[in-house]
Amino acid sequence: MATATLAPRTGTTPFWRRRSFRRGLTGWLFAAPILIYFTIFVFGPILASLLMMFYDWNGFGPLSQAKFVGLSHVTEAFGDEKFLGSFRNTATYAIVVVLCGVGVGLLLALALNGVTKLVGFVRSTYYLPVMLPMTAMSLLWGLMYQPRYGFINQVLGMVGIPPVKWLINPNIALYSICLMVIWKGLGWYMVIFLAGLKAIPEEFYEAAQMDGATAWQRFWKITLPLLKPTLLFVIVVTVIGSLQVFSPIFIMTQGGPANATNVVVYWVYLTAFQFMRFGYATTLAVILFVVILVITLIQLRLFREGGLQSYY
Amino acid sequence: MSASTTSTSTPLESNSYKEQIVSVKRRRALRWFSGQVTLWAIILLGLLFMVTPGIWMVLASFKNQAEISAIPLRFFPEIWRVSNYPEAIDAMKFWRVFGNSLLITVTITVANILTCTWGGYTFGKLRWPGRDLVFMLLLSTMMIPGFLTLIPRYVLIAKAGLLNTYGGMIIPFLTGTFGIFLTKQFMLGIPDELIDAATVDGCSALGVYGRIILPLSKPIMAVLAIFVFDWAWDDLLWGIMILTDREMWTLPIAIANLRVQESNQFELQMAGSTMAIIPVIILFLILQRHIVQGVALSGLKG
Repeated sequence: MATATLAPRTGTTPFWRRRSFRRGLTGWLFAAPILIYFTIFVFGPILASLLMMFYDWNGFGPLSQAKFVGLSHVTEAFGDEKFLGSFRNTATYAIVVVLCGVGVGLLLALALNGVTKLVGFVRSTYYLPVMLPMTAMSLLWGLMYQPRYGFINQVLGMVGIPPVKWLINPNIALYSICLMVIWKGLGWYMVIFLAGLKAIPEEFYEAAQMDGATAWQRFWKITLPLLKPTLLFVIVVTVIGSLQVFSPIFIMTQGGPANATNVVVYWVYLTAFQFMRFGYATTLAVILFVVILVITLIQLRLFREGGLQSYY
Repeated sequence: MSASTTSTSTPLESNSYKEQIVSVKRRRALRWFSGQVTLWAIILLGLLFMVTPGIWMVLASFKNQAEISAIPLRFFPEIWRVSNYPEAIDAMKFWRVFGNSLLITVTITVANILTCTWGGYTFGKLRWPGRDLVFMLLLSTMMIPGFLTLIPRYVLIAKAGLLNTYGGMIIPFLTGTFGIFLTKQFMLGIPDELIDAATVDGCSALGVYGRIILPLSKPIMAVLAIFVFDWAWDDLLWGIMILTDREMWTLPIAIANLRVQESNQFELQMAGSTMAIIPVIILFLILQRHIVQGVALSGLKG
């Protein structure tokens, strides 16, 4: 280090006067408030979650009343039909939202990348629903989904499609919520994909065209591989977000009909705040977290090794 | 494009060859035109799908119950019932709830702008031993979804006596890993020479933050402000956990409650929903460019 060349001087200056020490101290002092805050509101609660798993507690009484129950919450969770059902629903929801969001969002981004006029206006209009509050939009779509006089069924009726029981039919309800969430999120996918597409150098396409590549080949051999980082980002963010869906369920269906739209976070909320089982609710949250972690790691691996990279 | 390769002079300058070029050009133009038509058809169809629900909501907020549920469909109200709005304002205790939401959201947003730029400076510009390790530790929490810590954080707030207070709604959200990460990335674009020069002139680290970092971070602040405001304005889950007292409710809770409280008064539900989106629309219109660029940026950086 630089101090070595200044050995005669540093030998006499006390360590707290040295530049490197001063600089290090400044850094740590600046980081201290952030670290303290994160300890209280992030790291602490994470540890608390891992502890609360093993206790029975109703959320009211003093924490000393909490009863140690060992691993019984974990074993209970794996036999809990409602929890497992909510797990299946959450997974279905996440898969549908990710696939449709990415698919339709990419299609729209490709379309918008091919035109030159009104791009800014179109992009903004698509993005607007992303900004709108989910609560208000859930109320709106809940009304539009009314089976008899709802807007959607009436419009479908005009083109001869029989009414759909959007939120009433247990086989459809979850997909109806997906549709609304995809509608709301579409602009986000589009904007991100459009930015990714714009970052691909035009020369690649020109060169491919010279070599006689068709549009389809150009999409699969140039666009998709070069869009890989963007795809990874979008998929990881959407999966993590989707697994935490709460507002539209709370407002539109309350988990019904027949638990068809019961999702994990909604169930965790009910378990804690309706059934007053804080320890068990925490256990369910931890289980979902472990699953998310594993899925995310798999995604990161899949995209890093092999996967789309094999196109290069 | 490759058209230029065919037009480079060839030994054969015959008429038929020129005609051939013209027909190729015409065919290419035709193909370009039909391509544009297809693209615009997709875009406009999508656009219709995107805007119809919002327009329908605003129109419904001026109808009465019978008109909203009329068969066949009535798109426009017969009489524009502006009185739905005062009624919805009463039913929701709108001004109280709106004030609560505004206070909480603005405080969270301003706090995040300050803390995230502070964090971005600390981890992006200051040089200190252990920095990268500490930053990795913070970054790893981005993988941890909010719901995992939901219940312990609730217990923490409850035990601190902050249920039904603004503090309970604000304090847990004063900073965020994503914001710090985004700001740190942005800070890389601020030249070190500027900071070094200020330091040589006797500016302390705190002075550098206040006089150089803050003024130069305006673009990222706009992006942060939008992300944080939009998220905090729409938060329902934390609110229904912390706020049981109606006087303390935020807008998302009041909106969710409309479905139960005014279950048969769709016009009030729609008027309430319309009012809830107004601040966001205003923000969007003012900051449009920053928003779209900010989102694009977050994707590219990821």
